[in-house]
Amino acid sequence: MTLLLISGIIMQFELNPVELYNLGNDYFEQGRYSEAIAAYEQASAKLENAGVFYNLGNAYFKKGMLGKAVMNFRRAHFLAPRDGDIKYNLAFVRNYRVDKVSSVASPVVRMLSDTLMFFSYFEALMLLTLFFVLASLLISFYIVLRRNILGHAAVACLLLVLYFFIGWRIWSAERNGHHAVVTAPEVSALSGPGADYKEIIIVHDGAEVEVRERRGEYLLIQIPGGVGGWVPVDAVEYIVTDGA
Amino acid sequence: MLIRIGSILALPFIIFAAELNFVASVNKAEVVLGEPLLLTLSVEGENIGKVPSPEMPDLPDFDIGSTSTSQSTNIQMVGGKVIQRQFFNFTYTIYPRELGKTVIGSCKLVFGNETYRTQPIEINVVKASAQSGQPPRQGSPAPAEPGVTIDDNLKLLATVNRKNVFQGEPIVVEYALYTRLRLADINLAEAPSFSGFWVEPIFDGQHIEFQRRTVAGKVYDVSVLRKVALFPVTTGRLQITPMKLNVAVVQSPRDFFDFFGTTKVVPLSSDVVYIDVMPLPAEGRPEEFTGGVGKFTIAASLDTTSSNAGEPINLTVRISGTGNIRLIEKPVIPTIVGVRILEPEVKENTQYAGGSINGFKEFRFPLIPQTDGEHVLPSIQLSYFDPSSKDYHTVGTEKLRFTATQTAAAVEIAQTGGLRVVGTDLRYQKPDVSTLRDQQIPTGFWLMLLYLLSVAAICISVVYRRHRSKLLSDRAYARKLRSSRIVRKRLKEAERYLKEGDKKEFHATLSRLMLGFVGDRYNLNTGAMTNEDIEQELRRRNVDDGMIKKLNDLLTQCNMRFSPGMKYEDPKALLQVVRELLDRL
Repeated sequence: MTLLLISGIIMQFELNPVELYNLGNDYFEQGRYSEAIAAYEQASAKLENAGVFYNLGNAYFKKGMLGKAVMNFRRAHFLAPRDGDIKYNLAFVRNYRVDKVSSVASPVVRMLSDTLMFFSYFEALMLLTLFFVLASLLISFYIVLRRNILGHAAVACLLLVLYFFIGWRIWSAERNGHHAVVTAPEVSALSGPGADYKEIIIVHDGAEVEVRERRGEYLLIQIPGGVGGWVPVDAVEYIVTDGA
Repeated sequence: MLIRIGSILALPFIIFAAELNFVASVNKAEVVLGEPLLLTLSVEGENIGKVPSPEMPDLPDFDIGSTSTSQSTNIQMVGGKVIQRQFFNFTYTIYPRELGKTVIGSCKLVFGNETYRTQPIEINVVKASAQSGQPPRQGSPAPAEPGVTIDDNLKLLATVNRKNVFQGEPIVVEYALYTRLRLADINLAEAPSFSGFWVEPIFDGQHIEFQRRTVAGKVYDVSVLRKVALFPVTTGRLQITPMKLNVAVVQSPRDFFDFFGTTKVVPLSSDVVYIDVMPLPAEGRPEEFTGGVGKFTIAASLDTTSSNAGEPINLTVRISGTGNIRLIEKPVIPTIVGVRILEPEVKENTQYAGGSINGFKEFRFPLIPQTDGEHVLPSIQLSYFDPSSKDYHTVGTEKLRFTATQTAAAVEIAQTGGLRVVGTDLRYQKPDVSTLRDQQIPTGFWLMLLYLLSVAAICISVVYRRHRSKLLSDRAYARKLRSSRIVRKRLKEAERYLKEGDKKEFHATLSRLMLGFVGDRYNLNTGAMTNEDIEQELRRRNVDDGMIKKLNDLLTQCNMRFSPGMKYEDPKALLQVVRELLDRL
């Protein structure tokens, strides 16, 4: 004889994404972060835009929800990797996490990843296609006409194709559903997919993890250090935002 | 013994047996003539929606008075599923007309495609004096006899541990059902309201479990339905409205076949409880008081004692003890020069033990050092009101120290031209916009098509390249490829000359056509060959004799154009021969 009391306010705005986004900005300015979050969330459900995810991340951070903030900044970063504000705030929010995983990469690695991830997933895919088509045409003409200049141009195009392909593959990893963020305030990672298993590590809100496997209602996650464990499905949220 | 089994089985039967339960019951099996008798038809089921009124049997021995209906819904969570149980009670007040035994026939309910019937109920109508003389049963809880009074055998009690408290001082309210009867079902009709209190549930009955307790010499089966801790948040006389239940009491069976007996729904209500709440004394209230009432301790800790490059340090302040832990607000953190203190993350946990609420509340403040050097965090003070001694107490933490290095490095803005950076924060929101671009680009079919076309272009160029080089190196290939085009051209030419009547040119064209074709076809240089040479070469290549003869005749015919006055054969027949040769050679 459990008596279930259902209460809660469900806000529903009948607005287009632009209006929702601007409304969210209004709420944010008034310090009404919950309302701002609701508005941004609904805008982001309708279209994917880095600005919406960025402002949503800020609002979540103001509410103290680190995991959600990290997740939304990463979604924004995915769409607009060259945006300095997004990178800055992502780094800023990461500093507030309880789990301080040292992720200071060497300058070479950082430069390399910055170079390879200069273009976003979609940009890289579009440019990859464009240069692939161009390279194919150049190769075709080279085969027919046997002009050296065409051959050189084709090789240059193929190098660009390789560059965009690597960039595209790196971003694809972000999209393929292995990357996730812990959104529960604190969760114990267990040695097996069930509540009866032994605790291995305790991870907190905002920890960025990789999902290795799913068994029933549990996910095997791995934190950057390499340690991992099983956590309930609802303790983490994927960075992927669509079915792709 | 049979009766006990009945009572054990009765509960599961009603809950699980059928999707719809239709039961008739009366409030007493023995009724004084002329006095009202309540006949209740109860319909119960999961997610049944609306139910039509049941059909009453003919009741010649009764006068029918008023009728009333009531409805209630009980929502249960079972294994994550919401089950809605609905209860409809149709209550008829009927008055017996004659003395003696009579029967209320079975009532009928048509619901969906099913017809449900109740069991007939036997009623004994007695004279006014006949009712007394039934001794109330004492001792161990036993199923009540038909007609036994409900009053003392079934009650719902609300008990509080205290009625005069200070604001913020918890009281514990317990709702318990006391029964000496067999119960089939218990439903909440109205939950008590605790306005003016902060409510912390201690116990919520998931299922009914009875324990035996002796109250005033009587043994009851007691089930605690609900237990809550209440923290008054306002002062004055506060009222707790009663909890109301509908309890289905099992009437004892009348014969062997009436195995489970019938039930009767009895409404129960607890008493209204009044609590007098006194305000906390204003005098002597310290500045550090943040609403705590009870007994508390405070402890503080840092997760690290050094910060590099403006990395935040987490200060955890833990307040633990007994009392209104959840209502305590964050303690005042003294300002530290050169350190920014952000809003805390709050974690709390309480439990009910030993008659009071114990637990802790933890505040995690991120501290952001803004200047280098050692920073000292002074003692954090917490004041609370102790209701037992009726005064305020103050406790404090120890001093904490940490060092910060390279704080300026965390600041991205260059510190040039006398610009002093005093802190860092999130970069601000992106501004309002008039349009938003969906940055998600649909991929798939068109991209795949582009890739396929690109690969196809390379393949085509490779094929073309091979064709060109074969044209250059393989004479036979080139001739074969060329002849068909030239042959078509010359045939057209010949037809044109025929139309124009230029017979000489016509024959010349035919001759060129055939020689060119044979040369291309068999890779011969026919221009420098005589008819005989050609004949020989063709024979060597195993060409059909008939064809060779036809070709020879044709070439001879064409060569006649050089002999003036020569009579030509029908040019149309000649064209026919050319076509045949082109086809079959």
